[in-house]
Order: sequence, then structure tokens, then C-alpha cells
Amino acid sequence: MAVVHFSTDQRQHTGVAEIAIEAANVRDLVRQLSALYPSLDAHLVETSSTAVAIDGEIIPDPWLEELTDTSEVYLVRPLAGG
Amino acid sequence: MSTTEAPANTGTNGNGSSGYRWVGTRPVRHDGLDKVAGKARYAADLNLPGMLYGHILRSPHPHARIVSIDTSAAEAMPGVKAVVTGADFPEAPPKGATRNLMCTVIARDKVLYSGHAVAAVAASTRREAKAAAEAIEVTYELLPHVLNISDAMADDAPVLHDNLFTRGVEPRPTEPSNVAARTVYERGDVEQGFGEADIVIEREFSTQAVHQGYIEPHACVVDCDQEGKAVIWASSQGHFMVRSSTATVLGWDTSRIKVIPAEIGGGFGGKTTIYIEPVAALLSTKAGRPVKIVMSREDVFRATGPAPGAIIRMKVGARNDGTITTAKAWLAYENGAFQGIAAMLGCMCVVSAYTLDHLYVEGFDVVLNRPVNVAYRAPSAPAAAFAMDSVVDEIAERVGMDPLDLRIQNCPSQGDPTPYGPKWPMIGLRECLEAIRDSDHYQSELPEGQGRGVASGFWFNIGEASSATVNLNENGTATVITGSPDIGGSRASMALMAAEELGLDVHLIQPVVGDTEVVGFTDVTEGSRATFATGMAVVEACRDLKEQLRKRAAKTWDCDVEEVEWVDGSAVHGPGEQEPLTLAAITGNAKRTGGPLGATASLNARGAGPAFSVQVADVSVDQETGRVTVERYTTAQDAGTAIHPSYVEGQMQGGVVQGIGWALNEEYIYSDDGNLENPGFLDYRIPVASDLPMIETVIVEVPNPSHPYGVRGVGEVGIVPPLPVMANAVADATGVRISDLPLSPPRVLEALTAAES
Repeated sequence: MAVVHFSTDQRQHTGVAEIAIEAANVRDLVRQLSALYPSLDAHLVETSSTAVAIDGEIIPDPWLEELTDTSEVYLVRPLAGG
Repeated sequence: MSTTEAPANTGTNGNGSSGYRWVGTRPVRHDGLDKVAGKARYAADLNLPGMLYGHILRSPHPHARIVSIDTSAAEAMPGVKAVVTGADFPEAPPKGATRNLMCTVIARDKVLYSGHAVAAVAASTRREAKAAAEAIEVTYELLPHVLNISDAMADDAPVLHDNLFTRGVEPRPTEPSNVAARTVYERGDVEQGFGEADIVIEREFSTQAVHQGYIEPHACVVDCDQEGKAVIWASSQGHFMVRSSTATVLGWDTSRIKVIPAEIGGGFGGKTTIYIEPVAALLSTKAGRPVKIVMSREDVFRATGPAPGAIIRMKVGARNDGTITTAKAWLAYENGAFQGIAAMLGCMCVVSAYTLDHLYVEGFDVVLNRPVNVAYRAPSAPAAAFAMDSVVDEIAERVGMDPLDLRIQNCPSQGDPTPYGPKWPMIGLRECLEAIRDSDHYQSELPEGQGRGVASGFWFNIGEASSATVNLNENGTATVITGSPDIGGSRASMALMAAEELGLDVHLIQPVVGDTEVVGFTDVTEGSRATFATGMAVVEACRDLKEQLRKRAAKTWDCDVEEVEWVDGSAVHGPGEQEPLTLAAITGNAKRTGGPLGATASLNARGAGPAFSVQVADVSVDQETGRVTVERYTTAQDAGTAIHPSYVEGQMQGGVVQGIGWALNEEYIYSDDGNLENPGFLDYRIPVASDLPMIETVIVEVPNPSHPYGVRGVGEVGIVPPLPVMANAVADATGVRISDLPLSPPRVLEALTAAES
């Protein structure tokens, strides 16, 4: 199962530092997280935090990225640059 | 048509090991002649029949409620064809990024900074437009204002937005404030870490807001027809962004808008947003004629940019062997008039060049009565690096270690955790540190009386969406069309990658930046992404073309396509029964084998490799005036693979120079009544060529495995280290450590005098 790690801000909504979830892709993962933690979902919407980092790579518009049993996932804010 | 022998590929670091024919060479830039000859067309150069001139009226107050706007006198003035105010634009939502954009373009109920757009006029001449704008009567109810972080965060501070409640705080605040958001990253136990440390250093740092300083002011020409369609010629870092943002501000469908990218005279992040295009569009719609708006330099300073100022408190613990164990950071960043993510980015960057067991990083995004922040190369990273790398330098001094050796001892590698959680992919920080350590500069003896400083810097780099179309012409040349405005040499890079893929002389390839109706959607040229992401699209399109070329050769030879290989720009028959067919031979016969050859690729690029830079400088300090002179400067940066090394070096040098300006000179000076007192290059001092030595460059290449040629973006990270490099060098030269930027002569002299007494 993929392991989702939560930042300090996100732990205010989840109460845990990480959770293992069986999900085929990011879309599936986010759906499950939203169901598990409705206030986290609202927090993510409010902060436009739709980016994720999967195994170290930050992906700004994730949706169908596949997850594996060893995937490490972080929910991060979309980045901007100059 | 002529071909040119490929320049000797010396390898991007002069080691001749790249193995490429075109990638890593230095052909003359494709846009060079036009720019040198003055033929390059910038937005302000365009004139259309019947064109009007727009002038924007700006607030003289930093914070005020707009009670009323009377445009009747202006409308009656000679030459005036249209007048608009905020009331002519769609209503903005109550909060969020869309409101911030809409209310930056033109104020609605309140003005939030001196220079905030309030109304605009289109008239037959510039003079008439300006005179009419000044005749608009705006009645303001003045409100108290805040111009710096400390005042804005105070409990009794005047609040800019009644509906802004600090995000990231539990329980959620019930009172609005200027603190838009709190961000926290933590790992381990900092108190335990400090307990294990032999040395703990705690300091407070401040940096000033600075402008991106592009030479070309914002400019656009907009022509709206009677059917409601608009054509926009604009200077920007992303014409698709101009299209979507203009549509958002006006409430239009994007299909009504076509944006033609003009040549750009610098952006550095400052042209990743819009200010004037919707205003010109609405004026053009009202007047039924094209409208040109060109910002004055004063308007650019008062109403665009800047990069934020910051206050950062650092506490760092280390053992006597030089191992940094712990860091605690408190960061507050200016956001300008609307909330942004400056502090969040600062939190992610502040200790990124170090491996730490324990960290606690807390950041605050703060709104105040200044123009809203815009990116400036690696946004937020320079101030963060200034704080951390200044303290690290003190640690090296205290434990008696060479500052580069200490950084090498503590630098992260692939698989180590980043401060914000995920693990590092393949990165080149160690290689950059070692490159500077081994450089002629660092190995040289420091001239007497000078000081030497080193520092490192990090930036994420990003990928995002890009499109490219590559057309093969009937004479064997190619046209590469992309949607990325060329702000740093991307056209040359696109041509080189296409040349490498197709085996075609790079001089036979014409790279073009296409408008929003001739090329697929492409995100803004930002985040050091153009050569990485758009280059990836070019490579993909070329690989598609190579397959097509093989098929055309197979048709010509009446053989199976599997028998055809593409080698060095020619189709080669595997069994050897046919003479090779050049690309020109195939395109010349294309009508007989299926028609013209072209390919398009659109992608959302993944795997932008993080960037690191390490720099060293020698400075001298005039003890009588406090003036800092940069005597020698060397920068090493991981480019992954340098496609066009001259452009890579140019980006490295440009970033360094802008960082030196941030460190030594640049700052906004506001009067007590909230007006900018130095809105011009005479009083806002950016470095010029005569101020600096040649910036020496060392290109480090740790290829990014996610890109077909190993590219990492190079445009941004170079601006990060100069702030701590300058501070560390001045400290080395004078024995006095200054923690507030800029290190301008008065400030340095004051610090030297205080130290003496």
C-alpha cells in the first residue's frame, strides 16, 4: 500500500503523521483521503493544494499517476517560479 | 540553403565528453541579428491604423476606500475616446486568487497601495490620454496603512482585508488579520538536537523587497473588433497566461482572445502575470479602435513586482566536528497587497542545502500596503539562504573548519529527506561544492585586505505543460514552433535539441514562438522550465518525425520499415541494398510519398530536476565610505546537461549579478505617507557592467534522468547564493557581520563605526 505522509498543517486535520492506503492512482488516493478526513479535503481545496510528491518527484497536476506498494506520497502546495 | 560544420563539441565543461554532435555547442543565437540590428519587435514598437493610447490613473494613497469616481470632465476632453473604471469590469469574487488578480488589474472598493490602478483613458495621443486621466476626480476615504512586516503583524495593525483569516492556525481565528497563512515543517526533536549540539548560534536577518528590474516596461496593444474578438500583442513570459488571465478579469471566453507574443525585454518572473491587457481590451472595446498601453518606468516600480522583503530568525546547532544537527527557523515574508505563498516557499528552501536530523520551520505570509509580490527567479529562496548560510559561515568559523568543507560534510544526497518531506532525487549539490572548492578562484590566495565568502543555494525547478510543432520544409530545413516565450535563449536550445534528434544542421532549423492560435497550450516560461519541458516536447515531436521519415524511406525503397534506420540525418537501409536518403531528399519527394511532414507533441512534463548553485566571491570594503567592491566572483551550477553552454553561462551570470544587486544596493524607499520615493533606475541602483568583474562560471553536469538529454533548468537558482556570499565576504573582510540587507555604503559604514566603538 502507498504511504501518505502528512505535514504539520495537515496533521491538524488527520490526527496522524501518515497512513497506508490501497490506491491505484492519485485520483483514487485523494478520493479515499477526502472520505476519511473531510476537513483535510476542505483544507486542500482552500489552499489549492492539489500537487503531490510521489517518491520524491513533485507533480503539480496529479490525477492518474499510478501508485505502487512502495510509493511514498506527500501532499504539497503547487509551486511557482520566476 | 547552406550548411555549416558543427562547432567542435568541447563538452559543456570543456571536457569533450558529451558524445553529442549539436547539444553542448554554441551556435550564434537565432534571434541575435534582429536584436543587434534593432529589428526585433517589442510590444511598444507596434503601431496599428487608428490606434489610441491608453493611460492608467493610479492611486496616490497606500490605503483608502474609493468613495466615488467622476469621469465626466475627462470624457469631455479633446481626443478622449473611452474611459473605464473598476465599475466597468465584472464583479470580483469575495476572496481567492481570482479576486487578487482582478483587483490588481484595477481597484474596486479600496486601493491597497500607492500606484494601484483606479481608472483609465484612451485618447488620440499620449498627452491627451494623460491629461484626461488626471482630470478624473476620485474621492478617497483615507485609511491607515502598513508598509513593513512588523507593523503589519502587530495586534493593532490596520487590516487590509476584512475577510482574511490566518490559515494554518488551529483553532481557526475569528478575527481578520494581515497574516494570511502560517506554514510549518518539522522533523525530529529540535530541543533534543540543540541539547546534543556543542555550538548554538541564533541570529535575526532582514532583507528588502526588490524589483525584477527588467529593462523593457510592460507594454501591450489590443485590438477588439465589432464581433467581440480581441487580438493582443504583449510582452510577457506566457501568452497563454495572458489569454486566460485577461479572459478571467473580463469575464470573457478565452476563445475570444488571440495573443501574439512580442519579443520580451526581460522578465525574471515579473512578467508571469498581467496588469494592463484587460484595461486596454476594455478601452478598445469601448472605443472600437486599437489601444496601446506602455507603462512608464515609474509605474513599473509603483505598481508591478516586487520580490518580497523578509524577516528571518535562525537558530542552528552543530557539533564541534562540524556536523549540523538542528535548525529552527522563523520566517515572515511580505506578500504585498494580496496573499501569496512567499513564506511557504521560504520554509521549503531555508535549510535545503543541508542534512538535518532535527528541524522546525515556521513561516508567515503577511499582506501589507505594497504592490502584490511577483516571482523573481527563485522566489523566496535568496532571503532564506541569506539567513541559513550566514549562520553556517559562523559555525565554520567557530569550529575552525573551511566553510566549503563544512558544507560538503553536511550536504544531502539522493535518497536523503528534503526539509518538506519527500526524498531528494538525483542532485548535484556535492558536485557544485567540490567544483568551487577545486576552482582556480578558491585555490588562489586571497589578496591582502580583501574578504572571501562562499554560500550555496537551492531551487526546485518545475515542469508543467508544453507544446511543440516541428515542420519539415520541402528543402530539408525545419521549423520548430513552441509556445514558450524566449526569455533566456530557449529558441536556440530548441533548435539544438531538434538538430540532435533529426541529425540536421542546427543552422537549417528555424525556432519560432507561435501565438495562441498556431501552437498548443503552453504554460508560462517560469520555474526554469522552458528548455526542460518545452524541450521535451520538441524531442518528442522530432522522434515522431523520425518514425515518419523512416516510413517515407521505406515507401521510396519499397521495403519493410523495419529495414530502415535513421542515422545522422539520413535514412539508412539496413541490408545495405540502397544508398542512404538524406532528410532533404525525403522532404523533397514528400508529395509523392504521402504529403508534407510535420509532428506535434503536447505534454505535462514530469521530473524537473532540482537545481543547486555554489558561489564564491572576493570583496574589498572601503573603510571610509563603506562601499563594497566585488573583486572576483565564481559560480558553479548544476545544469544537468548544458544544451547551449553560452546561454547557461549567461543565466548563471545574470542570476549572480541580480543577487549582488539585492545584496549590496537595492531597496524600496517609502515615505511615511506610503509613497515610493525612488521609482527609477537613478535612485534605485541596480548593478551595471562597470560595477562588477567578469563573473566566472563552472557548469556542473549531473544529468537529470527524467529528461532525454539530462536537462535541468538553469534560469533561477543563480540568484540565491549571492546574498549570503556577499554578507560572508564582507564579514571576512571587516570582521563585522551584518544581518540586514542591503549592504549599502551607509549601512556598512554604520556597522563598522559601531564595531569600532
